[in-house]
Amino acid sequence: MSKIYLEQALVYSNDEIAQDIFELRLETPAIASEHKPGQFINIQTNPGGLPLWRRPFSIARISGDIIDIIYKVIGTGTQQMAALRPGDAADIIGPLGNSFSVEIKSGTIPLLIGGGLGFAPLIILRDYFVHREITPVLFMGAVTKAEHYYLDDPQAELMLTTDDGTLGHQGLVTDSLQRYFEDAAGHQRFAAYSCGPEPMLAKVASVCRTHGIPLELSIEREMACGVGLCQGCAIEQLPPQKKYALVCKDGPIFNAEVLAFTDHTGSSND
Amino acid sequence: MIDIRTEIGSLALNNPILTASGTFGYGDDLPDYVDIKDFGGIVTKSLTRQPRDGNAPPRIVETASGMLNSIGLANIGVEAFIRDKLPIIREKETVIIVNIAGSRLEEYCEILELLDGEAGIDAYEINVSCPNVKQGGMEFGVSCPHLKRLIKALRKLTERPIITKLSPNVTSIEEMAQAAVDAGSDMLSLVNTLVGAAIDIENRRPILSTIFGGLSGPAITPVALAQIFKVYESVNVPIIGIGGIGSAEDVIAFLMAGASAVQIGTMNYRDPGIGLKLMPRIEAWLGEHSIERITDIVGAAHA
Repeated sequence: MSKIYLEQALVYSNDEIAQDIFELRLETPAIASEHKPGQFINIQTNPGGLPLWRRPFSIARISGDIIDIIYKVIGTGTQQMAALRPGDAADIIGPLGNSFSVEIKSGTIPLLIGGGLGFAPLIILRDYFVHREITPVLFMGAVTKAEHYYLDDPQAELMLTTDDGTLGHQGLVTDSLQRYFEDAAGHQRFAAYSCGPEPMLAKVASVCRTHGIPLELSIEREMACGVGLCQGCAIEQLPPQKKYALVCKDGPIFNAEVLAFTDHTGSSND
Repeated sequence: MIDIRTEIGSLALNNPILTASGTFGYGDDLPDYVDIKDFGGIVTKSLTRQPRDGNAPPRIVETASGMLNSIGLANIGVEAFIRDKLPIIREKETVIIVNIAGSRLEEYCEILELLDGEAGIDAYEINVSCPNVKQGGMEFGVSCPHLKRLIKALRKLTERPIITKLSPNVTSIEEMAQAAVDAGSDMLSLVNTLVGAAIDIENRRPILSTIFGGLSGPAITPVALAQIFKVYESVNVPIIGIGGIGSAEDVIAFLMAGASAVQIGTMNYRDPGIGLKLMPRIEAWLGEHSIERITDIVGAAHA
């Protein structure tokens, strides 16, 4: 496991990149150099005050000493984050959690499937592959055009969908994934990675299972600590795994086949 | 030079700050920036006779100035603790207090007997007040006769100090405190969490899978201070104060209310090193007030 740092990171920028969606860039050489794709940080949005808990966010990108996180302004904590200005300090802990399995056989095409904000941890994975001259296919879904923040990618194949048809294909990201498999029938190996709302992840798992494609999921849970102390962020697993894993420590990345909510036998729906 | 050492019964502490059970794991697997030797002592997660998976999620909810939890005593069980954790933590230069939980009197006894054969344990804290397990445990914390019977039985099994962790969910905490002390408890720690609930208004359902959970954090600090204040006046054993402590001022207030030491729980979640950051501020405060020993302020709020 990587070393964990408690840092006062300098805010480099904090800009609205889509409707209520912000990209916060933080200077933190230690976390930037130590991180692996899929890991997250835990930020104290109002040091010493309320809300009580830190807020966890996947690292979306690294450039030099700077890490980026992407967040949507929803409640008090994210409103406080939106008020951060360049030069401010942000109290963060990281890098936390496990990471995606990035070692793939030559010729394997990575499929990155994200829903809404769930695309953030996939961007860093996209960068990882592109830097190694592997071209991933990106499937990015959102409710409407205004919520899309990843609109263009000259170095990867990008498929955009919206529920309301205001951008890209109308429909769900899983429809677009299904269509891709139909067009690519008989094609080579794939490795799939996904992040988004759990009903979407369950659907992605079902599509990947049908096509025999290994799938890793980045899971989101409320966390009181983010470092395994509170045991709050439990997620149910299938036998023979232990019944509950901690998303903060055992995750946030899980093989889709170990989680109960993706279970196709229908024995559990968490 | 200010003396920040303190004593709780026969236990000498380098400083009065302990970690609260269930908020610091077993003390062996912490973020790199935390060193447990800097704490006055640590209290382990509650150990049960058998390993427990804990309750179904959701297990935690953030509330106004606090949080609810219904972890359900998820733990590795006493035997795995003795085999895998104790050899690591007994090497640390700090006081190790092992917390014990059970659903039957016999279970508490079995756990304590197993632990009592092991070196490196300084005291036991008896959890009689976990609101999050379906089967028992709680009745020991809310019924004087049950509590007395339990502590008496444990008292016979060990020479080590016994700390009874009291529930705030009672009509008279003084009576519970007296029962524990009469039965041979060397010290008391208080308070455990308050029973609470939260509702998801869109789904019209409780948020926690168990409906009820334990409320902790700064929201319960005034409740804890009141109960410590009462218990300090009613029994004559050391008190360890618990209840949302997150600042040097909180620690000082708990000592003045009558605690000889304190445990930091929920606030560890935001900042696992917080206990260590408080000591220099406490020392500074004592210095500003020309107080030479931290023990001088214990009970200072009592007339």
